[in-house]
Amino acid sequence: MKKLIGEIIIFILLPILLYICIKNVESMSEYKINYDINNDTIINIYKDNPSLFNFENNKAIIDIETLYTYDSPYLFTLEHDSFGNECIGYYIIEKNNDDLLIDSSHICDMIDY
Amino acid sequence: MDRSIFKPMVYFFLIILLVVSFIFILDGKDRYFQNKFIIKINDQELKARLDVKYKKLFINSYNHYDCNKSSCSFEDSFARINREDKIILNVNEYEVYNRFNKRVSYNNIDGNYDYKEIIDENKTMMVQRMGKTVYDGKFIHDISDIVKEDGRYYFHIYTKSKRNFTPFSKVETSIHFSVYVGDKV
Repeated sequence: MKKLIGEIIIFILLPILLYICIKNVESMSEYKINYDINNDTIINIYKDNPSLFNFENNKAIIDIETLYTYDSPYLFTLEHDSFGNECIGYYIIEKNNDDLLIDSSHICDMIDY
Repeated sequence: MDRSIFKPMVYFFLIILLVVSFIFILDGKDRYFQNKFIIKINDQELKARLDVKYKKLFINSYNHYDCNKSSCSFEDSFARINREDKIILNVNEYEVYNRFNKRVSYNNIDGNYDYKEIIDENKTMMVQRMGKTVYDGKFIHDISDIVKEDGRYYFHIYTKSKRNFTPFSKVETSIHFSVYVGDKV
């Protein structure tokens, strides 16, 4: 009977400890920035108000403050980097015929504005 | 299988189970209460992001808050302050109590609550600008020497507090905000 109780304890306790370890390791996994999170929103804002984007040679640089504070029904989300900084950098938008190519690699750049 | 080793193992795990259960019961009385943080530079209140790590025994749980104030506007993420001779940073942390004097979490509503300030002398701070770390060390109020040049500075303030008398429970809060110092270019 004692052995049975012992075995039950081990079979319950070990999975619980394993679950706790896995949970902690998952939480510690490296944070990844979703660079493309606002691409659809930018396209919608462009359709809504193209004059917001100053294109020169089919290329426009637009800072996130302009997009984030633009009064529109589209949801613009601020990402944050692994330090916890809000990504308030800029986008490089390229016009290719009717399509917009969005370079979001600079959204977490620390720029002076 | 050698059954003689089985008995001590059972007792060993039984003791661990009892100790863990005891600590869980002690710690379980404390829920995760979110404190209120007020961040000011030269009397201008700033919006901050909070990342909170609750440690209870082996279990870490995480939470984050995009806004530390009762209301945050889109413009709050792009805060600016004018350059002055002295630039003073204040970070105040408060426990929140309802009208029945029960501790509650701060829920971004400044209603009929009492606030008890927590004095934490062990805060640390990191300041970044243009992708470089310009300060990393103990928290200081007078940041005039850190923000010498005009520009946007990214602040990170780290606090640690115990939740109860057991050594296994801690709350670590990271406060993140950015502010442009000087006239806008």
